[in-house]
Order: sequence, then structure tokens, then C-alpha cells
Amino acid sequence: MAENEKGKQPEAESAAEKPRPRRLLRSSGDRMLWGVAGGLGEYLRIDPTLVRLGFAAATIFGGFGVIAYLVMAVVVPEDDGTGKPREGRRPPTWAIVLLALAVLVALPGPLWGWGWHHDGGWPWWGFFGPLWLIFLIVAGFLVVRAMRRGRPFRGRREAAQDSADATTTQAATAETSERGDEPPRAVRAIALIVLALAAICAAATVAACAAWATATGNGEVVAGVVIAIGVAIAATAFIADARRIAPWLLAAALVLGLPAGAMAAADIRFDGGIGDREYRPAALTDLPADGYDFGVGQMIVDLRDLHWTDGQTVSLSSELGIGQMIVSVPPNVCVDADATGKAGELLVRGETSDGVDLEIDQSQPQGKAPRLDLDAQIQLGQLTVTDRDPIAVEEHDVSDEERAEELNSEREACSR
Amino acid sequence: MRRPDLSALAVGLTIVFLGVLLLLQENGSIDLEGGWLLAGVTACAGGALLASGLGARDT
Repeated sequence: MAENEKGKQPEAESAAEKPRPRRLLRSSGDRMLWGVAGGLGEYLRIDPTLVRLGFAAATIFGGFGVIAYLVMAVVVPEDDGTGKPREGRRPPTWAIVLLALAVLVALPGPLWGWGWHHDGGWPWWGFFGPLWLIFLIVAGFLVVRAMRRGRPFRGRREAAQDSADATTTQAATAETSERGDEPPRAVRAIALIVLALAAICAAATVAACAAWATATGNGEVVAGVVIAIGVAIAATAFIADARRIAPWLLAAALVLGLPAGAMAAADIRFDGGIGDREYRPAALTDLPADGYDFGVGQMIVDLRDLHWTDGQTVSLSSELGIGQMIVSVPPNVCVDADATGKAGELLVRGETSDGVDLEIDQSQPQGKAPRLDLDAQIQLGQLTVTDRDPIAVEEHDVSDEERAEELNSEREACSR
Repeated sequence: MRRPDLSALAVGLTIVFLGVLLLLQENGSIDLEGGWLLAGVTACAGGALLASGLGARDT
């Protein structure tokens, strides 16, 4: 028995000497505002400057950096200079829960799946919005889990093991009291999830910018940045901190290069501007020789004011990146269209094609009726060629009856 | 002279290759079909991640 007592004594001492678990605290020494970046850098064992750059990037691209920083400034306790939380600074649990709810409510509407359903918006946000949120939360959870596996917080099992190892009631009480000073695990989890959200949103925004730049004809700039990052990674091979810096540069290169490559591979281009454009040429000389070309939004080409004469053929090309293109012609004009699209819907005088790889290739016989040779391309969206007022097309979808009427009207015009 | 970190060197050169591929495609020097370009881009990304992972394992 006495031997057992002796045997337990060194164990108790070694338990007492075990290094305290690393805690996420706001740094009291390395700080520019409230020490959040400094504390995160110490906790994650990375350069705090990188964390600050991450916050800045997340702030510029979507504003999440500010939210993440403020949340962490409130919920993460401050270091008292010895690696322990400063006494009496921990916010109550209800305040933390309210803050987390406020952050969730403050997230932009599209993340919840609303606000993008009208006027040629992105209808799939309605489906993917909630999934986005779930994905981000799961990603945050995985980050926390991965970090816990590497180091960080002790779970209940480890804490229970510590208690079992303690040989005296006094030691156990002291340990429990000490753990009571730590911020709750839920708080740290929320902080890390919010940080992960900020990082993911910043990466998504940078990726979208790279894709956008490529699609608008600035892919060479993106490629140049990717090459520069590659050279920088290769250069780190000759310095001591290669393993610390290279993964960050690699992540940046992939966030830029992959979406740019995907856009280039899909050959998606949208040059020509953003917004709404309406063209209403009154004479043939008003038609641009190289056709109409527009980037993103709605483009209306109203040809009803042109003076159409029998036997006349007017050739026109028009291109649209993303959005809706409406071409209006008088009912007596025979439209011979060669229309293509990557995805969306083509409606050409009653003929339809929808889904992906869209194509309507008409070969109308040459008759007496005036004729429009239309070469139309869209990347993503809707093309409507109609004999109705563009405003009417814009305001409501074309019904089956209207489609049948247009088809008959087209056949009648082309058979003259 | 310090021995260079071979995994970082491999990652860097792979990323440079990815950038050059994109640059040549963008300025029209090469004209890869969509599928081949996508395969090339993902192969570069995969190669870079593989080299990075092998380098981390050896640490």
C-alpha cells in the first residue's frame, strides 16, 4: 500500500508539471488593435502578419474580415502576459450566443438563398444558398477538428483522464479551477468557424475575380500572376522558411489558376460591359458592321423601326456573355437564325432549345419576304427572337400559345 | 551553400508550368481543346499538391 502511495507520487508530480494546453488568446504584446491577429498567429504558429493580411483580404473581398475580427475581439479572452486569460474579462455565454446569431443574420442574403430570384438573377442561388451555409459550417468544423488533432484544446475525455490521474482532491480541485479560467470550447469553436468562413469567402471571391478576369479577356494577367507565384515558390526552396511559406503561396496560385483554367477550358467569354443595353436602329447604316457584343446583363436589339423591303436580306451578328438577349423583328420578316449557347434557353420565333450546348440552326428558303440572317451567340442565359415588343417579352414568359403563334407567323413570312 | 528544398522547387516549377500553359492559351500561341486544357490544368494542380504533400511528409 505504502509502495503504491510512493508510486503514485511521481505520477502526480509529472501531471502537475505537464505543459498547459495552448490557448487561443488575444495577444497582449504583439498587437495593432486588440491583439486578435497576434494571438491567432501564436496559437496557429504562423506569422501574425499573414493573419493580418488574411483579415485584410477577407475585409476587402466581402467584408467578412471585419466581422471575424470583431467577433474574435469580443469572444476571445486577452492574454495577461503569462499565457493565461486575463481575469474577469470573459463575456457571459448569452452574449456570445447572441453575437453568433447576429453574425449569422448579418450574412448576405444570397447565402440564405434569397434576394437573387428576380430580373435575370441567378436562380440557382435559391437552391444552393442554404447548402452554401451548411458547407461553410461543416468546413469550419473540419478545420477545428483538424487543428484539435494536431494540438489544441483538450476534450472531455482528456480532461476526465487528467482528473483520474490526479491523486488528491486538492490537485483535482486546483485543475478544475484552472480550467474554469479558459474560454469555453464553444467560444473557441465559434471563433475558428468564423475565421474559416472569412478565409473561405475571401478565397471564393479571389477565385471569382480570377474567373471574371479570364472571361473578360484579361486571362494573361491572371496567368502572369500565377507564374510570378510559381517563381516565388521556387525561390523559397533556397531559403530557410520554405516549408512555412510555400503552402500559402501554393494555395494562392491554385485559387487563381484553377478557376482561370476552368473558364479558359470552357471558352466562356463576356466582353462588352455590364448592365442593360437597348439598340433601336432606324436605318441599315445604324447597324454596326461587327454586330452587337455585350458582356453581362440584358441586351435588347429592336429592329422593328428598320425599313424592311421585300427580297431584302439583312445580316446581323450579336453576342452576349451572361443574361438575356431579345431581338425583335416585324411579323412579316423571315428570320434565318444560327443561334448557339453554352447553357440556358434559346427561343427563336417559336423554336426552342434549352439545357446545355444549345443550338438552333434554321435554313429558311429564300422567298419574297424580307429576311434577317441572324448569327447569335450567348454563353449563359436566354436568347429570344420575337415579333413582339421587347418590353412584353421582358415582363412575362412566352406562353405555349404565343410560341405557336410565332411559329405560324414565321412559317407564313418565310413561305411568301 | 544551402541545399535547396526539392519539394518547394518542384511545386514552384509546376505552378510556373501551369501559368505558362494558361498564358499560351490566352494569347493564342496554343489552342487546346477545352477537355485537354482542363486536364492539363488539373494535372498541374495535382502535381503541385502531390509534391507539396511529399515534401511535408519528409519533414
